[in-house]
Amino acid sequence: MYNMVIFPYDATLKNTLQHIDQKEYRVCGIVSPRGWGYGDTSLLIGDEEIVIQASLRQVESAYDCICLVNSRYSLNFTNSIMPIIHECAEKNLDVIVCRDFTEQELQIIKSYIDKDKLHILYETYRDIKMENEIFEIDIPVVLITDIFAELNSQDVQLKIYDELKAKGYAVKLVSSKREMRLIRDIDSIPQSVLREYGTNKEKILRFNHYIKQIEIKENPDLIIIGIPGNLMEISKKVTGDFGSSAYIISRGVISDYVVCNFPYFQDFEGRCSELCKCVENRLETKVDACNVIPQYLDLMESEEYGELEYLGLSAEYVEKKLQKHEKIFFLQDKKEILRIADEIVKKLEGYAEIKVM
Amino acid sequence: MKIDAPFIHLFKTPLGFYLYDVNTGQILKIDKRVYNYLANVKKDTDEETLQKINILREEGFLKNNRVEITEHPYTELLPFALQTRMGNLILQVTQNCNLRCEYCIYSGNYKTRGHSNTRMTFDTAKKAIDFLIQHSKERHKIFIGFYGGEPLLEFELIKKCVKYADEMADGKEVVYVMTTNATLLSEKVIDYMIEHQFKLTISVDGPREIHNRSRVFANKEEGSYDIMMRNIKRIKEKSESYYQESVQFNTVMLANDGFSCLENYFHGDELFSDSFFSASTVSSSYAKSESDISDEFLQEQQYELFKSFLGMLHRLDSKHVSILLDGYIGRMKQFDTMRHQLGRREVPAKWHRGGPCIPIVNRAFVTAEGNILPCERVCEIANISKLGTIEEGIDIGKAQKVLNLEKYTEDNCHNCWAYAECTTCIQCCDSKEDNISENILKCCKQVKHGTEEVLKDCAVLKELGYDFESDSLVGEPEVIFSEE
Repeated sequence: MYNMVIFPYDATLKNTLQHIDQKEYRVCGIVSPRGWGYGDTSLLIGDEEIVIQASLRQVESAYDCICLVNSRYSLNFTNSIMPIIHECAEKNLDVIVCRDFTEQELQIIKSYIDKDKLHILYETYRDIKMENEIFEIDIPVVLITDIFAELNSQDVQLKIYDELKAKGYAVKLVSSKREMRLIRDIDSIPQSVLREYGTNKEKILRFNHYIKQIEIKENPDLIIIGIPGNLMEISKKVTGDFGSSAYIISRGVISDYVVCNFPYFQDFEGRCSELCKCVENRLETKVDACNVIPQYLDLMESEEYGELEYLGLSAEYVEKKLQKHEKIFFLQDKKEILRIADEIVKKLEGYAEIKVM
Repeated sequence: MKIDAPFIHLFKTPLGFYLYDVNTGQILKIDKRVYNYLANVKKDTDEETLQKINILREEGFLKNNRVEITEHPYTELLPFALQTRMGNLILQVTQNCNLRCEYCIYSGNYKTRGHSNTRMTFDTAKKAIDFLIQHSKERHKIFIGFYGGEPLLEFELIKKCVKYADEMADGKEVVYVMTTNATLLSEKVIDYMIEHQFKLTISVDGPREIHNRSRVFANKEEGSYDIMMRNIKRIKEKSESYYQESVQFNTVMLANDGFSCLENYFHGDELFSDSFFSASTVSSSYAKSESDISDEFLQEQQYELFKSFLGMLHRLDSKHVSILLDGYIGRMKQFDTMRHQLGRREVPAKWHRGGPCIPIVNRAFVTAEGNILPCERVCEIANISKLGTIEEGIDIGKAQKVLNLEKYTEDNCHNCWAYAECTTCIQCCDSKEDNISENILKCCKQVKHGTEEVLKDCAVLKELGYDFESDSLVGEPEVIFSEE
């Protein structure tokens, strides 16, 4: 078991940490840069209330490992990450890497941390035999995608995953976020599909083969896949990855149920069907559910800074504003999670009525 | 066939006739007959003209929709934004200045406070910085500005603030900003500015005789030009890259000096010729008296604008083009960019005109006493400006009132064709609460005139082949004759 400190923490990690595999990882401390505003707050993980600290020095519990995670906002590698690496090297600590570093940064880390102390969290199956054909995936696939990036849909992935598991289904979640590998039985999309070089064809085939591997080795009842990145460009200046990750994923598997996450905006219900059409054009598959995330996209600020800028809203505010609609969900509400899980099951159970041998 | 009054503004240039469609925010080129019909010059017209007008209507133009309810779209979101999206803090570290510029808003010629010895304590500054950090959780980059009077009179306080902010804002990118008269930029101060990558705005009014006429030292009525220039040169000598990237200039143009002499001066001096300038005439906001702008100034300014356009059309080398008109050119480019991005079919029934920024979220100005105002340009003694204090926090109701400033003049605004392009905010208001409507409406003529100039200039440049988006000329320029 690793007794670990998480760095750098922000609220996007909250649900992941609360689901962490406590048999393998014990969270002894959580560190967040002082300027991120988490001082004087704490997080309940299992039975333990962990106070969020501004530096490693302030962590009182004994730890033998640092877990480097992704964060909403960037951190300077030299000023913020390297001091942590130096400390790990000095104290001979284990380092778990979930954070997406560049190749160069990773090489620097490897030069300080011993090979047997450095644990880069990759996907479950690293060696996939590549064929030059695409395979049928014979189990249902639920795709969860974000219309715009940085909507933190890993929370949505987890909620739907938990609820379907509670209903007794053997569910496999292949998440868009590597941190989710800290949760037992949850996988992440192979780095070779997202980040490494290769043609789109290679990436699509690789992803398809990975999902096929899961199907063969684990035989789940269904697979949930969280699509990273954004589906649509926001504007000419804020494009994200132009939906390229979504393209690769959606070509690698045929989906049976699609959930698309949207930021809140006024008159959402009135524009929902128009938006769904845009999503369907991109994914070339029908959108079954639109989930509203309590965040408001600030377009002008996003364009000014060239990065996505959101304003967090309260769940109460958004819930009050949203009209009831069969296709619109607000998964902050437990009842809505039950509703979407029921919808998924209802749709997918229909497939079982015809058995092709 | 009479059309219900469409919400449009008609204008013409030597190159043609145009309409600005308020509902869609687009400029359309039309022919003279359509123009005359829409202007009610000719009540009867031919079938062909009516057909063209019908086509415009079918394509979604010429709607008569107006805003019915004044409500800024951000009104309900403001409480959330105030909690987590503050981004820009300006600290009034002192109300004193070592200069006594005659046009300064604190000179006694404006309906606001005068110069005083009031200085911000470190305790107040710390609380303001804490306030910013606590309320900027959803920002990864924040700005901290230092203002006065002359902020460098409190250099020690500034250093303490920077040290404190660097520590407390660990994990965020902090950009430090300062407006200064440059007279106190000693070697030590410049080194500090470079070390912390301060973005500096230095006030320079022109050549020695013009600059020294207004910008004099408080204790000796001597001009500040020589000391200022020495210090500016020092910055450049210490670090050319810092000078190019982080130093810009602000010029207040006294309109009886003419425009060309300023242009020639700044263009001719290598210290300034590659720099960014924001240039304006003396502010009329809450002024006790109007300031005059001479015909000579206006003519020279228009000539320089003409040359700027020739530069954009690749008919004149950029070295001959004004550096003092970047602000206006930028406004035109922004207008063109916005209307292409808009995709607006009609003005919403519930909306707010252009003008007010999002108070406190976009900018929060903290006075030396710890009062929070929406920016450093508003009247400091006006009740409407004071949105809270560092001790008590923000009064959300007052902030929403400032955001919805149109409420004071909505009957006039709802029918104004310049609605979406208006730039009026509480900056124009003086301390008298019952003057607010009057203060705002006084700005209307200037706003409409300025907006029409932008429309005309955009139309002409596009006719001559200029593409705002790529900042280039499309195809060969052709000679275009007036439709007359």
